[in-house]
Amino acid sequence: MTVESLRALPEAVKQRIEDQSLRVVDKIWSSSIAFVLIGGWAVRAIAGPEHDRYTFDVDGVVDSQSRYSELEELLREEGVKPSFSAWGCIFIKKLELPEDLLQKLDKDQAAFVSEKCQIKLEFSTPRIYTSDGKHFFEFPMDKYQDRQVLSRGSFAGHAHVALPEYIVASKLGISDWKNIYDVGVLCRFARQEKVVKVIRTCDNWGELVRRKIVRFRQEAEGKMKGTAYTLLKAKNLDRGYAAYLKELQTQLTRGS
Amino acid sequence: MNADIAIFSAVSITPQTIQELTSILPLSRHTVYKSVERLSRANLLSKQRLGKKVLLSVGRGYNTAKLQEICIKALSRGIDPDQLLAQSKRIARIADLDVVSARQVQERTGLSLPAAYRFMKLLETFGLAKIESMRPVAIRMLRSDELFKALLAIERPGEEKIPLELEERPYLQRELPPEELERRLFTNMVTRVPFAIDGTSFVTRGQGKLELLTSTRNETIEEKFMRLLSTPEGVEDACIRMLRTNQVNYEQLLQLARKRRMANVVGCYLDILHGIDEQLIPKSVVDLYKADPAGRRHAVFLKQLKLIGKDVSLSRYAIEWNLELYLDLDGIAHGVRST
Repeated sequence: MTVESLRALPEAVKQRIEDQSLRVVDKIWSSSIAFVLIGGWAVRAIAGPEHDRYTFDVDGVVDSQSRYSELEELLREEGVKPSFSAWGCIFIKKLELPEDLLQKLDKDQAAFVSEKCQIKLEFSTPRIYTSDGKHFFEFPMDKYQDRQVLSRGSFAGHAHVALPEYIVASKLGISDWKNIYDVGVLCRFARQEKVVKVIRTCDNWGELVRRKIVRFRQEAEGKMKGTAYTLLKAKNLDRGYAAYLKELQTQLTRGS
Repeated sequence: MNADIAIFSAVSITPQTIQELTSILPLSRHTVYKSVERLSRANLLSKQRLGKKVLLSVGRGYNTAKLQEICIKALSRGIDPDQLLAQSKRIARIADLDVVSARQVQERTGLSLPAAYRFMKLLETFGLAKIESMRPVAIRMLRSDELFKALLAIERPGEEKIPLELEERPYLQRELPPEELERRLFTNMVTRVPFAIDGTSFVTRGQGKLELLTSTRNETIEEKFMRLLSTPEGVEDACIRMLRTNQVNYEQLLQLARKRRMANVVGCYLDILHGIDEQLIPKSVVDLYKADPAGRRHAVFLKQLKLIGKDVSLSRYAIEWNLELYLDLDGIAHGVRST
């Protein structure tokens, strides 16, 4: 979602945006398109209320590039505009807010919502590459959970959600604060042995994770100050995280 | 002295029972009881039962803590706290001025000219101002004085600078000047809103979204950018968000970077961002840094990430900018995509 000051928007508006985003997820689930949800909505589906932020954008993988045109067809009536890149495709969906909600906004907010707020739907094929193209992670299209996902508004949707072990394994390859935080939230749902097994199925992803996990550990042990650690500590999710990562690192090193 | 102020001052110095107050203060038992009731209702005093006695202590909250500070400091300077507090609103009206003339006092407080002179004299007596000139009469406000700051704190409700929020986050960031942050500490402690102070390991737990309180410094956006560029989260998130605001002046940033002998560090960072998103950093900006004659002093960029090793895909940048790079390219790309 392209936003400048979402925080200033009334809760009812943010809830409506979430509803619209999740409605798209549900629409894809109802179709025959092979689609697995990853990203923010997947973390919400798995962690539930622990994932306490609004999720507007949709990230998912489809089994082949030919699905992009099917998605385009399916989402046409949603008024989306697709754009294609080397790694996948992005659909931009314009927001539709009912008159009663628009009236709750002041002039600046209304202009901001109508001109800048969009829902970004990003799809790629199951194999996701790092920026240098030297490492990849692959989400299997046949391993997912069929889950109900609740928006913070009023919508309950369904989706094929990637298994937590796959989401954790993919996130361990990028060591920024968002991934350090997400892994902290998800670690109670993903067993280390399975995560290690998943990492090993992806060529040299393990080599990347072995490097990056050091930073995850530094933050989880409080040796490096960061937002992720602060958030986890405030939510009482920090306990056990450092040990989880240590064990993960041990198992990864053992087999390498 | 007004009974309420006298009782609050006594309890501010040390907690007292009602019986102790009636014996040490020249007030009737009835006046003490009435006053304690008023102060308790206003949350300025809190009561704790100790057997048959009731121990009074100063209540919770930011304003109460500041009032306690004012009473003790005023008494220590030989000033009646109630005399001082009676002038606090007027003081707040002229507090933004360094040097104040009698005319300005008149305009801002609505006092007559003779009353304005008396008020200015009073401020000098309180130690909150000193005479700057006699003809025309002008005083210099002593704004760094502790008592002055405490008075302003209770008179001026904080104005929050809402930072530019580029996406919905699992926390609320509040950037506040130190005095406002201090107020927030008290408020959050009382309301049990979880909060953390950015840059420290102080965190509290509670219901609701975490507030990340960041103490603002007296610095330009370019100075802030340079400061954050030395941290992983700055490189992967905060600096990108700052660039998205289009408020960073690249010329000024270059001047500053040159002064700190970091022109190549900033240039390299902008070059990497340009490689990820040409709209975020146009080529002309990178060229500006490439053309800089300040030289390419060899340096390490982001020592903190030395532990994860070098990203070989960044070697082109490392050679071109003469840097030892320890950056997580995917972390930066993730930051660019999500802001």
